[in-house]
Amino acid sequence: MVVATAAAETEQVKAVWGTAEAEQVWGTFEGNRDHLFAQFRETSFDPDSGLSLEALERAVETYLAAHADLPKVVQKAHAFRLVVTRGQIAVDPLDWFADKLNHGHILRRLVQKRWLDEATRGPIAEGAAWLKRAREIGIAAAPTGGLDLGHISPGWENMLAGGLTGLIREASLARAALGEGATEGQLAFYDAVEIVYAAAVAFAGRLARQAERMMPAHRPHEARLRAIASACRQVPAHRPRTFREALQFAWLMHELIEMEGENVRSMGHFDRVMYPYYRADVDAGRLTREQAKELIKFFWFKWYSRTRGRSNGKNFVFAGQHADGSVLVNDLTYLALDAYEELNTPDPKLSIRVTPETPDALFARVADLVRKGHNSFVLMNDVPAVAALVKRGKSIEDARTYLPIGCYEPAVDGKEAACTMNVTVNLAKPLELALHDGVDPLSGDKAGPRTGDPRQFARFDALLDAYFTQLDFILTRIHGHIQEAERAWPQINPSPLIAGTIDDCLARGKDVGEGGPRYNSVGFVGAGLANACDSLLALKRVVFDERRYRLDEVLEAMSSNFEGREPMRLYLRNRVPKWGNGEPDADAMARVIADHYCQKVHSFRNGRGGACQAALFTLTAALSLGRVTGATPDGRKAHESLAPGVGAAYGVDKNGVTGLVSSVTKLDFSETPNGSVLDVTLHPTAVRGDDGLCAFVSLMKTFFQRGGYAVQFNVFDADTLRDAQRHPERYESLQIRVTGWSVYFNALSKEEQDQYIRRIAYGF
Amino acid sequence: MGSNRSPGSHTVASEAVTGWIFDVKRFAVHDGPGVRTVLFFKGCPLRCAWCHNPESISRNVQIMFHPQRCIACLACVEACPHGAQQVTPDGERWLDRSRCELDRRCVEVCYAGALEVVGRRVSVDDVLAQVREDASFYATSGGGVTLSGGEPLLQPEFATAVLRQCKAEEFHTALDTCGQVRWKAFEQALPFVDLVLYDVKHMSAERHKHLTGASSRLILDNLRKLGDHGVPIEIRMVIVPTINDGREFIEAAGEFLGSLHTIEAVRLLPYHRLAGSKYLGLGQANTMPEVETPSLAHMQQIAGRLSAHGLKVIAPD
Ligand code: SF4
Ligand code: SF4
Repeated sequence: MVVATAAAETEQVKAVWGTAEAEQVWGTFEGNRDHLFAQFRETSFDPDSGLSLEALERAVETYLAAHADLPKVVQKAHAFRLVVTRGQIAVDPLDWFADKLNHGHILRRLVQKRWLDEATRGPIAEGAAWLKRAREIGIAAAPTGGLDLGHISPGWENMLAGGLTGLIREASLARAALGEGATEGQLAFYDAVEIVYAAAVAFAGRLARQAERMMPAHRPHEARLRAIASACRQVPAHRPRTFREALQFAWLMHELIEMEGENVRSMGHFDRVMYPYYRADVDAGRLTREQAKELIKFFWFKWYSRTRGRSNGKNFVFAGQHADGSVLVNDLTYLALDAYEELNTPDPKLSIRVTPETPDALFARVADLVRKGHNSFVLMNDVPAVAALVKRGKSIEDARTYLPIGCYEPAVDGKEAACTMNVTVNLAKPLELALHDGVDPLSGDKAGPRTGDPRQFARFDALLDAYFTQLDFILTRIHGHIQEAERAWPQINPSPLIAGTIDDCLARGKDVGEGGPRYNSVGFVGAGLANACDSLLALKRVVFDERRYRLDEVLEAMSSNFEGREPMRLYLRNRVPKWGNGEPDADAMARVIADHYCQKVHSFRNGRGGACQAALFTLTAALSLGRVTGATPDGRKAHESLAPGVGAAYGVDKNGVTGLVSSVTKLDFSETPNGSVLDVTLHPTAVRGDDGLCAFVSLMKTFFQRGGYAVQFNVFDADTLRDAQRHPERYESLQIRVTGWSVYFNALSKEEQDQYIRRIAYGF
Repeated sequence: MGSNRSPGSHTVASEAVTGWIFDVKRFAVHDGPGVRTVLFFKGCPLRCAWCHNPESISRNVQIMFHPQRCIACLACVEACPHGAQQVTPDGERWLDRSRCELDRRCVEVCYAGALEVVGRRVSVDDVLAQVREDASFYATSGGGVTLSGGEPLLQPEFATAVLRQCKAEEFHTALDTCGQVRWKAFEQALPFVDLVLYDVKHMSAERHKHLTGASSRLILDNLRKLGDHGVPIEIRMVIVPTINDGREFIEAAGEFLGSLHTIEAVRLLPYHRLAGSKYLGLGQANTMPEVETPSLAHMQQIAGRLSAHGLKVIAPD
């Protein structure tokens, strides 16, 4: 792809960027950092630029009341139009990117508080109530009503390629192609698409005029204001002429789509999609590397200024491969990583895709950043990720362009509505149900089918069968409710703004919620694999094989949270092999559970005609679902967290990272199309120096060579150790290392621990 | 390598050779190149006061107690047939080591893991099984296996058998030694060693005897011979303030090491006092000198002195 090669276009660009102004506008990020940090908290909207929030809200309400008979998608489009064309705006002369609109989340409230509410009290009331209760008692966590409106990525390339005017053209061509055969619904969708894109272009035009109006009063910043005005006339209406315009485009659309009611969880494949714009600028001498880096900093700092470190999973992905399978890594990859290091913020989140051809230099660069404390990186392995997507019906070329949505859930770039977090299922809960004949012991709810009194089970297999019966029941029930919710989607959150960017919504004349995209999936995330595995294996060993304890003894101990039965709890915890240590029995058990789970999920189709896709990870569900899960036979006490990610339960991974890698890579990640992650905690001295960097890179490469899916590293620090002093149980496997010497942290006396913490804080 | 040429019968026999180790550390870094699996041999000929692995010293199996894990269930007391596990009048359990017959029954019933057997007999096969599991890490990092301890060459047959088998499977091998062993032991092992990690504690024969129980003579002799042999050597020096951080010692060490040809690097390790709980757990008197960890500046200064002798020095930075 070549950009802005036309000489005329280049001239036009030069006219905007005089040489004199270049001296004034660059090198300003650090000096304005504090000011920029406050940009979303202390925005001063120009009162003359539009309606006050109250007036704007009234205008929207009046419109909706008068047009209640229109299709929801058209209502939404007009509401959007009103907000972006009438709301107050602001342009910051110290910022490269214009964006501010005083919208008061009117559209989000419309979706979340009104239309979703109507549905959960109406057509999907039963499912919504069941899912709500399921969350309360720790069966599974799903978004309200069972609809995941928050995990999606727009088609960045589709947007950038011809701008929004290009999409409007595409919409009218598609409409014409359908001709007489177009349904009312399709026509309404096309109307809505045209309304929202025209409105978005108009919004950018307002920002441009605002910038021009401000020039006289902001003489020192005139150059930047002129550049902003020029950019906002070009994008998002048309294809960006420069790297800066491409960033302005992306950020503006992020803001508008979020405002419209979706959470944009992937900002796209940065070094693939943005590279042509960057390359063209640098080659033409319009932009230096240093300047490009500064633009990236202004751009990324927006995410951090908004979240202030409470990360919300806005993902930029790098490297990996192109659609044709050729390895992807370029100058922009490394430049962006430099910018990230200098920014030194936890947001946005960066993911690195890895293929067998990814160069060592990139591994080393990322490893170095992680060990310096930039630990929000996720590394993802293209081999199983692509294979898994292909297995679920995606073409290989499409699969290769996947984007991690939010964390590590892949979706095809610009062609998929993935709903990756549609539900998180507690894999330990079905065991609780199986052990109590379908009753949830903490709540007393009859939550599952009756699978018999487990005390009567003569063989372990009977217990395992009961477990799977409970698990299947839960999955089937959830699947049914999600399907119902999907049918209601068009009435809850029509999304013309994002739909038009995703293939084949325009061609089909269908919104995202109507199955317009080429691929439509629903993610079933399995949480607590380790707890399910360790618990089942513990019962197998102590009750059925060794006959050390009777099942009723164990049940009784569990129901009293092991009160007075500490030796039994410790036997269950310490004397039975645990997932995450490379122990064959535990690894085999985990594999049986994971395989069953994934197969069951993959037997479902979702309500939009797409695949249901399995994942194995937890995010915050480890805590929230664990809190409502009773004591488990792996020795975990009631209400404690489930195991994080796909890894070992807290404190039991006594064979270190090699054991973890050995276990986890025994799973088949071509069966987790919706993702998985292993969290690895590393000792700071293990990754120090050249030896340490080499070891770190080796760890990453080994994990991927052995078929691991995604991995996130945390190099622990003094704070981790202070936490370990407070919660020794969670850190039983934490070893500290001092140049060739190692010992369990818990084995040190308090004094020695303090001494060591001082040492770590000191960087030794 | 050489191992492939050993008579078949010898190789088969050597896999059955057993020895005593007390720990295996995986994903170890800084103990030779790349990612390593470190085998800790039990038993050491020296008695360094500052030893931070006191469980490595005795060749015998020992019972180690981890008080912070103990839940005071007294199962150990009940299980001990020799009355070695006892309860004091104020209800605390303690181990009368003089009565302990090391039959491990207490460890068997201690589900809390508060009692631990230190030392286990393993075969070359056992060891290699574990080593092979980590082979993919060696391949991506240029790592391998390190024999440490304790002193591996106190068990020369076993150490050599492990090294030979590692080389037969083309794993990189490193031998971490204190040097206080007969040269013959080195001769046996060296054909299968890619790198020697050699501890230097003090140069003066008398001071060495005073600090470690043995003169430095044999150690320095062996080091000189290793230099002549040609195997690559990394010197390791634990810097203990007031004991071996003086200018005189550093200069003498620098001069001696500088005269050897195959020293690849000298690694300086700062002394630390974190092993107190281990001494306590073994029921041994804590002999670690009450001095602070040397400062970074001090380590750097020593590094500077040594590098003046043409040595490559690795010090914490
Ligand atoms: S058996 Fe273990 S936990 Fe129980 S009293 Fe003895 S040492 Fe303590
Ligand atoms: S090892 Fe045997 S003799 Fe020694 S304390 Fe334990 S039970 Fe008693």
